[in-house]
This record gives sequence, structure tokens and C-alpha cells, in this order.
Amino acid sequence: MRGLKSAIIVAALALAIPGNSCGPFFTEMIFVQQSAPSNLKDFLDGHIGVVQGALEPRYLALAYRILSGPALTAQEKSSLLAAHENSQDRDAAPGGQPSPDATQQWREERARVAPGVSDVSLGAVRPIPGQQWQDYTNCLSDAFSNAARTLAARARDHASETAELAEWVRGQDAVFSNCSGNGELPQPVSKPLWLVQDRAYQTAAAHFYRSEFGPAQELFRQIAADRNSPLRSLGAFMVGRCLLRQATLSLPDKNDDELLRQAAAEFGQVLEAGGPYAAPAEDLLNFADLRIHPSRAAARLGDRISRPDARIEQHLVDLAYVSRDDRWLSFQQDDRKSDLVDWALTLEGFPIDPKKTQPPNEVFEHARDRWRQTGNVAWLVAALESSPAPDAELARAAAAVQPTSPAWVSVAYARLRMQSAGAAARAAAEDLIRELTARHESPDTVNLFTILARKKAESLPVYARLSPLEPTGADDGEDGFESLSSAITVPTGQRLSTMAGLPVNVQGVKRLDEETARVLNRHLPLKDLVPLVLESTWPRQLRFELAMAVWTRAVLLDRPQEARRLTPALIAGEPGWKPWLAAYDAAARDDERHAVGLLALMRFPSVRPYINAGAGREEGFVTYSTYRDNWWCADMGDFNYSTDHNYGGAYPNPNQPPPIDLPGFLTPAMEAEADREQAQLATVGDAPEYFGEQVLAWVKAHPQDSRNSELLGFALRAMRNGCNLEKSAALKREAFETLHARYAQSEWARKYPTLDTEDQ
Amino acid sequence: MVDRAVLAVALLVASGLRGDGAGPGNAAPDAHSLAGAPPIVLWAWEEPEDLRTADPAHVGVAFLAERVFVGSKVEIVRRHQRILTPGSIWAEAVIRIEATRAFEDNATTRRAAADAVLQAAHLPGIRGVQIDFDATAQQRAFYAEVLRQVRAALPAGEHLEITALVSWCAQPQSWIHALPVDLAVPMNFRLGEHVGAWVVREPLCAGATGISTDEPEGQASALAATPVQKRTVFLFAPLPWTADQLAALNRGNVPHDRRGAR
Repeated sequence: MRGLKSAIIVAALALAIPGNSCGPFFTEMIFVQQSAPSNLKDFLDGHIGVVQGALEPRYLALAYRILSGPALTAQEKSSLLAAHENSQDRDAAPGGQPSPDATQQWREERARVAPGVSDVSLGAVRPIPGQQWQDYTNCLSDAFSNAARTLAARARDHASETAELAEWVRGQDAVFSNCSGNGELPQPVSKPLWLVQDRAYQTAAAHFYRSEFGPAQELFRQIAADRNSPLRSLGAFMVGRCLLRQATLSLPDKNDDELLRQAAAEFGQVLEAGGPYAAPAEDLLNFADLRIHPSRAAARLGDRISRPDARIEQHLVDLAYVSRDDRWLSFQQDDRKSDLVDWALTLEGFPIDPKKTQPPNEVFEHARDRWRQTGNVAWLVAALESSPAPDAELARAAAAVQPTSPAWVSVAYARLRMQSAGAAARAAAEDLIRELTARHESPDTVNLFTILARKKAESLPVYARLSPLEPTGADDGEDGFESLSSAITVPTGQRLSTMAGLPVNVQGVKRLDEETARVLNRHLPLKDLVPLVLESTWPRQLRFELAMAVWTRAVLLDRPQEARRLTPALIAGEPGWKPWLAAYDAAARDDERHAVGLLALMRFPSVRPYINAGAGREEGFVTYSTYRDNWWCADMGDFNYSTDHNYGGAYPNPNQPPPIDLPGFLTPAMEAEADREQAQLATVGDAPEYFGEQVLAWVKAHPQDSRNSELLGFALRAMRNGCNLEKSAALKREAFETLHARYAQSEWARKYPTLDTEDQ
Repeated sequence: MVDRAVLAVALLVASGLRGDGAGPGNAAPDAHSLAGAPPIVLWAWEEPEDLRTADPAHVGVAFLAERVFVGSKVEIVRRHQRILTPGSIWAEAVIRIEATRAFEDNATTRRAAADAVLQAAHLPGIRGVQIDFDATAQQRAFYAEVLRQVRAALPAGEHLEITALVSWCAQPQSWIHALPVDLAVPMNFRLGEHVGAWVVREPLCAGATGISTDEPEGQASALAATPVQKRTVFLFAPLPWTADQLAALNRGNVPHDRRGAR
């Protein structure tokens, strides 16, 4: 099972871990990765492409910082890249246990300083009180590494006091004996002072790990109040941790908000006081505030991210957490106190004040107002992005954005988007594509401009020329966005499936996005599609697939003249199909042509009257699909349920394809003719049912025809391997009985001795 | 947000309807089943879950108890998130096994993975364990041996299940056929355009089906593809279960989930 979205939480207790949904997994081609940059390093270096609201919150926040400045520091970039690498490392199991390095560090230091103290086992995890099936990590990595560091410091400062150092170790052993269950409390000591002070801390810590938060808190408060204790500031910090942990453990079904508020107050004081625990106190303040005052946390995080901060990665994680809160819409007004958060929400299209009716163009006007007020190019980008119509003031400002600005690509895209479709806009788009390519902008950006150029195309040939896109990656449903070479794995010893003699879905292949596929499949008539194939300069495989789709449509619509024109292209792609195609072309009579047409359709399971959007048929031209992606279903490829798990986002309604932009060159006459053809195709239905009905009708009408056993056999095969088989179950039985009753000695009858014989 | 509509698909087909799906191509319906389980079992993944209003007569729970990462060594991450249930609920522990890129198949990792599963098998109040491992062809020997070791050491009376990719269930003698498990639960969701495009032929898969609340088409075809008698329906939801969903389930309906990410 696989996670539908990840939960990332700042601190120890409540770490939500993505689950996994279930396979098998089918590769989805990604042409423009919208939610995250495909190359984070380039992104951090300012190549942020076209900034749109579909970016994940963390990347939106980074885009704001990159657009607005100050520039990300080298240290910030380094930490962001390291965190990204870590998140990509599937071998790094999410932390449920303290890191082995930390426990080992403690063991080694302990053995070095106090070799005479016998070793003890180290646990870390305790069951949650009152719960039977879940645990929490009680002793975190820092507990062990801090203990090791502190012991090293004490050994350095009190090298000669070996007995006291051994007692220190025994005290710490007692602390850790409470990690996975109630163990011992450290024994009181009376001297020397350093050991007394440390023992007070150890005793408080032991109570903390025993979940005895009242005594622990009181003892930590005493340490915090002890002006002479070197652990004073740590004591104050630990008071907050006592409250925080108690808040997360005390109630059976939720956090205790009042305790969270108290914890936040304590951390706020530590933050205010500054010192070594200010930074971790702020992190835990955010942890608490994200749950009780998410708006306050979001605004604070937005401000932190807006300026250089060594903890930027954690701030981004925390800010993303806000967006998971069900109360999102109700508190975003306060979030907007941070300009960064205001900008991100605006770019995402959220209403400025959710409590009021949203006036038309509110988002755009807010963005424009903020740009006017601040002069910040980030707001110019947001205003252009949301602009409902060309705006002279914005256009002037956009024209002034220099190519060196990280905003330039976004601005260029917005300016182009505003242009009317036609040759001028399309040519301008292609000029920009060349420039973007020369600038080594990301393939996602280049594809985005190519799609826009296609939308501006003035004619079908130009539209078609701009349609093939090289996927920038793939989502195999298991590991999210990956390069094609990573997503497509072929077991050792097996070969990649081929279509038109070329491997399918491999690195460098060009495919069609859903919009283009739907325009070709649904909105163009045969009379335009046939010349499109014949004059196509598409790559061999894609051209073959289009030829096959158009040919299939022609056969199903009984338009032999148009089908015949495509035969050379089909034979060039798949020579093995030639005898079947030639028989169709040579058929002398209409009824004979229908029979050999059925055979040509049924011969290979990849034959279908539409071209695939995104990935090609994974089994290639010849091979049957285990998952019944064979021939076609009644929806004729329109139903694309898989948008659930690709980077296009969640599907709003799996029964309705998302809207598309129809090209401007489509004439009413073309659309009317295409509609008529679609209506006729809609009567065909699922391929297995169609084949079963047509073949049985033929056999009844032509009982002596020598092709009958072959027709029945292929139809049976289709009714075993196609889609929606329950609808053709009765036809399958009839075809089977007919085959065995009339053609018992045929090869096909031997091949299928029982109704449910497995295909090999 | 949440669509409160409830699908017309009556979920309690498992106990009420006649054999609507036991047609040609389906495995023998009484081959394997989950004796004693309620008709619906909810998968509860690593998210806070409050199932206290679930009716134990109708609803059980298969909760993620731990995840086991198998690389050159084996690491265990036990459940962190709360799960609240009626005390009498039928429950089983799910163990998710994930092979990391450093996956090694040797006696040590096999033993460690089996031990990890057995840790969960000793949790209180459970009837059995369900292992969720999308084993590749190269990992199947490893998986089979882990299952064998778990089976040998499982507490008396506990059953052993696995989740199964639908492809594992599509042939009568698939690779899972000889595994020492009581049941395999085919996961009929996230199948992309191939939803509904298969039948159950492996008897191990005949006693249960796994569907998702947000895929009505998948529900219908899965229920049709799996024999009805003694069938347990495992239900996945993309987000934590809600009180409204539980109320619908208590009435015998599959809630249709339209919750999505922001």
C-alpha cells in the first residue's frame, strides 16, 4: 500500500508515515512536473521555471524567497539539497528508533570513561499509555548523543575523579533504564557540586522518561531556577518538553491543547531569552503552535523562510504541515500576515478573506495591489499568473523584467499566454523555446512552452508538429516521479516490448499528452486524420500508433478507401501484419471485407481506434496484456482513471475527463463530422463483445466459409483477454460451442478444449 | 471535501447476496476464507484512527502494526499513530515489508524479517497477522521462506494472511499457490485504467477482496470478480476513517470517499 500524501511532523512523538497503495503499478508519463522541480539544484540556483500555484507549499515558499531575495545562502542550499537527497534515499528507514550512531557514541564514551561499570541494554520505545497497538520513541537519538558529549566534557574537566565519573555513568544508566519501561531512579549524591548538579538533571530526566511529568517538570524548574547550575537553560527548555510530551500522551484520542499552550509559552520564553536552546525551543514552539495556533506558526515560519536561516529545511517542513490542517481556510487570514504566505496562498488561488463572498478577480486584484505596494517581482508574477485579461500596466512591468531575473521565465510565459492564438503567438512561443533551450532551462519548462505554442497553433499540421513531447519523467505508481530509465525496469533476461520495432516507454521516446490525444481521438474526422498520418514527420513509433488508430477507426466505420491509404504506413511499422492488411485491401465484396477486417482487427491485441495518451501500451504491438489492456473498451480510451496517481493531481471526477482547450483552427464542419464519427464508434462498444457479435453473425450467415474457425478462435481469444468480459460471457459460450460443434477438428478447437482454457 | 453520499453497492453482500460473482473464471469459492471475521475489515494505516463507533458485529480492523525495511539488515518501525477501537473488535496486525535498494536475501535477513513479523504477532487482542509485501519476482523466494518461518512460529490459533497484487490472483496456479498462508487478499484498487480487467482464479484469493472507498468502479468490479460465499471485504480509505463513514459501514454500505488533497 502506498501513501496518498505524506505527513511530515516536526518532532518526536507523532510521526505520520506514508502508507502505500496497492499495485500493480502502471507507468504514467509526466510531461510537466508541476508540483516539484525535477532538478532541485537548478531550482535553488534560480532556474525556477514558470512559477505556478500547483507547486507544493515548500517549493512555493522557496520560489518566493528566490524571487524576492535575499538570495539563498550556500549553507541554506546545502541543507536543502542534503534533506532532498535524504528524502530520496529509500534505504533510509524513517526513524522509529534512535540512530545506531547515537547509541554507539554513548556506548563508546561510557566504556572509555568508566570501563569498570558493567554494560547495560539500551531500549528506546515505550507503548503509549492506554493503547495496545502503538508505541512511541521515548529516548531519541539526541538523548544518547548528548549524554555522550556531556560525559566527554565531564571526563575532560574532572579527569582525576574516576569514582565520581563512574557514578555519573551509573546515574545515566538509570536514566536510560526508563526508556522502554520503568527502570531505576538515579541514587542521590552529596558531592562534588558538579555531580550533584548533574544528578539533579539525571533524576529529572529519569522521571521524564518514566512519563512522570509532574515530578519531572518540578525538578527541571528547580534546575532552571538554580542560578549556579550550568544546566539552567537546559532545565527551562526541558520544562517545555515535559509539557509537550504530556500533551501528546495524556488524552486517548487527541493532544491536550491546554498543555500544548503551556508548552508553547515555555518555549516562547526560552526563545525570548536566547542562548543555546533558543533554536530547538523555536522548533518545538512551532510544533505546538502548528496544532493550536497554526496561523501564528505559519506567519512566523513564512517570515523565517523569507530571510537567511540555517534551519530553513525544518521551517519548510513545518510550513507544509499547516496545509494539512482541516482548519486551513478559516485561519489563513492570519497566515497572510507573512508576505510569503500571503503570496503563496494568492498564487494557489485561495480567497483573500474566506469569511466574505469572493468578488470577481479578487485574487488578481490582491496580487496587483500587493505588487503596486511592494514592487516585489514575486507579486508581479502572481498578478500576471492570475490576470484574467491583458493589463497594460502589468505588461509594461513585465517587459522590463530582465532575462537574468529568476522571474523572467514566468513573466515570458504569462505574456505569451495573453496573446491571441495564431501564427504570430505560435512563432513567438517557438522563439522562446529556442531561447529557453539555449539557457538550459528544465525540460519541464521547455515542454510547458511547447504546449503553449501548440495551443496557439494556426493549423492542424503545425499543431501536430508541436504535439510530440518527450516525457520529463514517469510515475510508476510506486515511487512517485522518476526518470523514465528508473521507472521502466525490465527483469534480467527479458526484452522490452516493442511497437513498430522500437522499445516502448523508454528514455527519449516522444509521446502525446492527454489533451493532444483527446483532440486527435475525439475532435478530428477521418478526412483530416488520414493526411495527417501520411504527411506526418513524427517519430516512427508514434506515427505508427496514430496510423493504427486511424486505420482501426476507418475499418470500424467501414471506410475502406481511407483505411487502404494507411496500409503502407502500417506495414512499414509492423511487417508481420501485412497478410491481414492485404487481405482487407483485396476484399472484393463488402461482406468479405467485413470478415477479413475482423481478422485484421483481432490478430494483434494492441489494435484500437485511438492513440494512447501518455505512456504507450506497455506490452507493445504483439503481446497480450495480463491486465487486459487488449484492443479497446467502450470508452475508447477516454476514461483515464489513472490520473489519480500521477502528477496531474487527484482526479475530481473519474467519470469525466478534465476539460481541454480545443485548437482554434477546428472548424464547425470538422467538429460536426468528428461528432458523427464518434457517435457511430460509440455503437461499437467493448471490443470483445463487438468481435463476438460480429463473428457469430458472420458464421451464421456464411456457415461454409473456410475462415470461420479462425474467426471464432480469435473472437474467443478476445473474449478471454479483453475488457468487461462479463458482458460477453454469453457470446463467449456461444462461440465456444459453435467452434466445437462445427469445427471440432480445427486448430482452434484443439487450442481451446474447454471454455476456460488458459491462454499461454 | 467529504462526500457523504453512500454507494448503492451493499457491502454486506458478503453475508447476504447470492453468488453474483462466482461465474466462470473465478476460483472455487470455498477454497480459503477468514473464519470468524466480520464481513468488513477496515485497513487502518499509519494515521490517527478513531474506530470506536464501529460496530464489531459488522466491522473489523487490520491495522498497520509495523513496517519492516529489509536491506542489508532489517529495521523495524512500529506503529506510532493512535488507533482507538471498541474493545471487542475483530483485529489483526498488518506488517508492511519494504525492500530497500540495499535488499539482501540471505539467511540472516530472512530470519530477521520473520522475527519482526512475529513481534507483531504477539500483540494483544489480535486474531492473526497480514503481511503486505509487493515482492518482485526476485524477492519471492525470500518472501516464501519468511512466511514459512512465521507460519512455523505463529501463536496457536492465529491466522496468517498476505495481501496480493491482482496479478498474483489471476492464474489458478500462480506463484503464491504454495505459500503457507490461510488467505491472500487481492488489492483491487489503484489499478489505473485496468480496473475490472481481471478475474480471481487463484483459490487463495477467493475468500477476500480489497477495495478502496474512493474507487466506486473498482468496488463494483472487485465484488463481482470475487466469489461471495465466505468473502471478507477489506476496505482501504485514502484518509483516516470518519464517524460518518463508520456509521455507513455499520449499516452495511460502502461510503464513497471524495476526500482529496488540498
